[in-house]
Amino acid sequence: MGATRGSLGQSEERALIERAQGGDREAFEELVHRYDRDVLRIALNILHKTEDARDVYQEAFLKIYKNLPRFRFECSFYTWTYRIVTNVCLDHLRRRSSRPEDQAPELASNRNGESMPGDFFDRQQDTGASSDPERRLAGIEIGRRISSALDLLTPRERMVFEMKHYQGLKLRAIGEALGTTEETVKNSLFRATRKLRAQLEGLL
Amino acid sequence: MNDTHPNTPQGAQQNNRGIRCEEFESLAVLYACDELDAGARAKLDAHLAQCPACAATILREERLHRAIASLEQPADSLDRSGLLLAQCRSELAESLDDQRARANRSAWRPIFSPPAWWGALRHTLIYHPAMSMTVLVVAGFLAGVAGQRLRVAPAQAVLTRPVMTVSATPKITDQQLQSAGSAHVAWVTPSGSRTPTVQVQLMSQTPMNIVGAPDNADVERALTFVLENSQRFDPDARLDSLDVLRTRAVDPDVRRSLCAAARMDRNPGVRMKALEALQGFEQDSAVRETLLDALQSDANSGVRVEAINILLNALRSGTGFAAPDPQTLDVLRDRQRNDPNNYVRQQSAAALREMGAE
Repeated sequence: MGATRGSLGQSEERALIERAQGGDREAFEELVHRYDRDVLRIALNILHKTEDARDVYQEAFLKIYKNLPRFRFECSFYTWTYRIVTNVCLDHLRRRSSRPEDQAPELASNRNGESMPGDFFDRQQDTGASSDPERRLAGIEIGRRISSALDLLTPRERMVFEMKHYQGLKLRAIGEALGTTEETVKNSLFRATRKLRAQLEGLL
Repeated sequence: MNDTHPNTPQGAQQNNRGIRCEEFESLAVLYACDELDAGARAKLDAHLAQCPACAATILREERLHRAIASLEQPADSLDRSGLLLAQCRSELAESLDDQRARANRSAWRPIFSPPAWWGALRHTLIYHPAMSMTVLVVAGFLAGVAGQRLRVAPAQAVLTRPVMTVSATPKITDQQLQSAGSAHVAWVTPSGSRTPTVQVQLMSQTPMNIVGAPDNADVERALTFVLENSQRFDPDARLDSLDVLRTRAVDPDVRRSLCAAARMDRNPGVRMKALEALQGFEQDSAVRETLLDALQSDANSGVRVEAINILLNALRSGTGFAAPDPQTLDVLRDRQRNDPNNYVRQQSAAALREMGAE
C-alpha cells in the first residue's frame, strides 16, 4: 500500500476522494484500483483462502463506499482504508475461530492453474538451498513449524504478525490501523514471536 | 545501573550501559524488526559487544526473522495470475451497481423518474408555444457545442500523445532469442537516477543479460519475445515484461505484441493486463479489434470486464469511437443480450447508450 500511496500526490488523492464523496463512481473505482491489490494481498495472507479473501475484499470496499461521505481527512485515506480492511479481516478470523471446520488452509494452484497438494508451507522453495537436500528439508520443516505457530496466534496477534512481517509496517502505523496503542501492538508482537520461537525450538 | 546476567559462567555479569539482560528478550524482537531508534540501537550494540549471552539471543532472533522473510507469502501462490483480483473487481462493480439501483428505486423515484418529468414537460410545452420555441433553440445550441467538442477532442488526444522515439538497431540475433528457455525481468533503476532501467535475463546455453532503458531496442525486443511466447516463458516473466512494455505502448510494434498477448496468451491474468496496457490507444484499429474480440470471445469474465470497461471509457472520453461502426454495435448488442456476466451485459448496454444506439 505504501508504494501505491507514494505514487499518488496527496492533493490529487484528496481531489479524487472528494469527487468520490460527491457520488462520482469513476473516482471511487480509481481509488479502489489504487489500493485493492494490497487489500486482497492482506486478506490472502491472513486467511489463506481465496473464497474468504473475496468476501473480505467485497465487504471492505462496500464499507468504504458506504462510509466515504463520513471521511473527514482527519487521518490519511490509506490509514482509514487499512483500518476498515483489518477490522473486516479480524471479524473473519474470529468467526473462523468459532468454526473449526473452516480452518483448513486452501490448496494453492501452480502457475498453470493446477491444484498443488500439501500444506502451503510444504511448498516453500528455498532456491539458495535447493542444491543441498538437508538444508531444503530443514527449510520445509521451518515453514511447517511457522505454519503451526500461526494457528496458535490470536486474531489480533495474527494481524500484527502479517502487518509487521509481510507488509513491513511500523508498529505505530499498525496501532493506527488497528485502532490501538503502539504499546499494545508491541505486546502482541512479543507474544506472537514467543509462540513462533517455541515452535522452532532446536531448528534455528 | 548494575546489570546481572544469570547465564554467564560466573553466574552474573556487570555492565554500566543502561541495559538489563532480563529486558533483552523483548528488545531483541524490536532490534531484529528495526523498531529501535538510533540511540537505543547504539546502547544495545554496546551491550552486545560485552554480553555473549545477549549476542546469542540477537542471533537467534535475526535467524527467526530471516526464516520468516524467506518464506513465500500465501498471497503469492494463491493468486499468481491476478485472476482473483479481476473477479473481485468485477463482483464489486456488480455490487455497486446493485446499490445504486436500489438507491434509485428508493424514496426519490416518484420525484425524479424520467416518465414523470417528461409528462410534466410535455404538458407545459403544449400549452406554452413561446416557451417551446425557446427550449428548442437552447437545445439546438447545446447540441451544436457538444458536437463540436466531440469532433475536436480525438484530434487533440492524438496530438498530445507522446511521439515515438526511434531506438538503435538491436544487437541480439533471432537465433539467440530462440535458444532462450526462461526469463527473469526486473526494474533495476539505480537509486537517484531519473532514467528507468530494466534488466532482462534470458536463460539458455549462453545466458543473456540485457540491461537498458525500456526504449532500448534490445530490451524491447527481448520483452516482446518473452510476451509473445507463452509456451516457453512462465506467466510471471510475461507479466513482468508487460509491466515494462506498457510504458512503451506508444510504439506500434509494442502495441502489436500487446494485442497478440491479449488475444492469445494462455493465462487470463496476462490477457487482462495486456488489454489494460492498450488503454488510451483505441483509435488504433488493431487495438479496437482486439478489444472487441476479447469482449466477444474471451472465455474469462475478468478479461471481458476489462475489455468493456476500456471500451466504455473510450466512448465517454470521446477517443477512438467518434462514429459508431457496425462491428462495434453488433458486438455490444450481442454482449448486452447474451453475456453470462451481469456486469458485462450492463456495461454493454451503457456503451450502446453512449453511442446513441439504444
